[in-house]
Amino acid sequence: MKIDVEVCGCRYTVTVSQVSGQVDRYRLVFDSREWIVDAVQIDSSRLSLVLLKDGSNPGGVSHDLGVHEFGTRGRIDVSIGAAAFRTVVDGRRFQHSASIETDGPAGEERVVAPMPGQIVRVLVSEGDQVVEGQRLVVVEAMKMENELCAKRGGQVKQVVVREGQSVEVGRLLVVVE
Amino acid sequence: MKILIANRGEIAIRIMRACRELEFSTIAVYSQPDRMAPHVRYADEAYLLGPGEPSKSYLAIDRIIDVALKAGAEAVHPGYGFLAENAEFARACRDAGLLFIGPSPEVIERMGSKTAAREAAIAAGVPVVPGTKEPLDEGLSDSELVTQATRIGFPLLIKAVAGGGGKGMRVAKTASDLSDAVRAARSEALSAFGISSVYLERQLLSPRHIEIQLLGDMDGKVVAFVERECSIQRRYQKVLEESPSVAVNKTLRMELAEAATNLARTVGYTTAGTIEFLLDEDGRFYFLEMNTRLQVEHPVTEQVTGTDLVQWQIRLAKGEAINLVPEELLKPQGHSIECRIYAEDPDAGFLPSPGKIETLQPAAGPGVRDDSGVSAGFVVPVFYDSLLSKLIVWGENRAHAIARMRRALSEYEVGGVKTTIPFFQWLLTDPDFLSGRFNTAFLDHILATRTNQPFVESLVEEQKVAVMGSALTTYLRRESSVGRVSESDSRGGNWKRAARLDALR
Repeated sequence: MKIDVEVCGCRYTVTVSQVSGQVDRYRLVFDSREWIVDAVQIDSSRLSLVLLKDGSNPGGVSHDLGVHEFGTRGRIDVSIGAAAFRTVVDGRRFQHSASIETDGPAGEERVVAPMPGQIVRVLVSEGDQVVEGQRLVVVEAMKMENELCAKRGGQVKQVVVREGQSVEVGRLLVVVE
Repeated sequence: MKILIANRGEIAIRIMRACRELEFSTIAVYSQPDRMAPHVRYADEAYLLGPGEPSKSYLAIDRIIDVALKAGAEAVHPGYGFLAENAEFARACRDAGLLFIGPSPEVIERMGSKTAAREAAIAAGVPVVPGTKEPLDEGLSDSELVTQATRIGFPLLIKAVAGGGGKGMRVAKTASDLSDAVRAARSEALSAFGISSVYLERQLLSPRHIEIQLLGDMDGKVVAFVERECSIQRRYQKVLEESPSVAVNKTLRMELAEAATNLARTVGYTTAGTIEFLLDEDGRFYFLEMNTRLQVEHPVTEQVTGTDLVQWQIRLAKGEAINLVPEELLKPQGHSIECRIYAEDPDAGFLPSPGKIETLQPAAGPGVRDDSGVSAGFVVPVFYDSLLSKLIVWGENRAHAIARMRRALSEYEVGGVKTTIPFFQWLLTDPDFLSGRFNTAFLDHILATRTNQPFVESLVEEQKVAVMGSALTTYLRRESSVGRVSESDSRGGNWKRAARLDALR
């Protein structure tokens, strides 16, 4: 089953299937990775996930999630401890990330650093075609990683940073047109 | 005995818990939007007061007295806020033959007026911040005003005689600010308290807010407790309190306790109350005001002294004598911290966040106390203070208590409304807070220097886990509806899961 999930301005297409013959175990594929997850619904608002390192592994990292389905427009709020996430499942309208600023000629998106930090990863190269919500750059500041995603689809015109580089707030990172 | 609790939220439940332990029965009163509130469900009996507006419910004196008499109450506990320091209410209870669990209307009136309270402090030999003894004359000329102000010294505060919570208060840095500041304070005081009287007081630079809890009995015995540190304030509202204070040593503690008990004896204080002091950088303290009621932050004192202040308040009202050992109450056992969890969005300038609490998982475990007034399914009304719960921890020392509070905050989960939990997680890592270097201006100052960064930033890994949670929730819901149609599905475990999900519906 393919499920589109939007969170924090990024969109992921998640392929979910049950691991055959294993109760409560699921295979999730998204962000070019596969996860085997042991998932149990504790009650209508709580989901326990154990992320297995691989299918033969008996266990792994445990996450206790508060989950609330709103039943309208695919909105599902997920809380992990004090961190709260608003997700939208199979939503038609894509919510833009507030941390990305665009200015420049019409049809051009200039992605700038929302805070001073270090470029951890550059996920696109010049000339790449990107889709709305696709991750472009990961910036780290104060030990926190922030993903910057494309607001809309297009072609990467310029990549003006490299991995490991330090950037100031407002520094231009990527241009998509 | 039957006790009516003229309040709502966490404090109503706190009082009812004390009543139940004393084997007294409890009567709740509530407004229409509070029908689902836990205090209504906890009480032995519950009576509707009226619509949500406080003036038609929790402030409606006639209605509350009427309910108390109809329900056969013998005593009334006002909690804090609402009618707790309203002399008219205390008098109405007395006139109706109801025992008011608090001071007499005369004491409430006297200590409720800031200038009268300052006079009482001076009479008891307690230092007060330099200021005018009497409220300012309405017809005072600007030049007379400047003369009075110069005698006290700048910067100074113009404060409402009936004030509280930072309302009706203005700062004048120089003589030229004075007449505008007085005018503004008068008009704010008039709209907030119905009385425009103001007085002048010198503004202390970077003081700490330290307060002393007291209990008094009918025989004139007054005991003081180890101090509470309440300097962590946002716009004059306390948000985190602790006991003891890192700024108070044994000698100063004895001096504060003596000053507080002297003042309470002077006014014939016979119940629970608190005297607030300002402590300057040189360790000198000044009387600020007296609260003639239970304080929000009373639990930190209970934690470090092993007393139940609410039970004592009720027992004192019934005429019992204090049999606590005064010296023991001034020896803190460990350290306690309280965080006020409000339905506010700290990332949006602490905007109130009313609404339905969808999910709730409070903290628990060693040294953790959750004095909550809400439950899952409850809609936080827009009419009242947005305090959801007070999270209190006890630790062997301050560092232990801080570590416990951080652990407890990581466990505490509230879904549906925004809360101040992320703000506290941030505050409890601040180096100045951790080392105890702060005063009443500290929090507003560091908040003003922050940019738009969220208090708690989510990790990319957590975002991915949220994606998994959201996708799996959707998958399980869709699969279970399929499972119900084709129950003959032979794949192992599917029927079991469908049945389990059905049972949850």
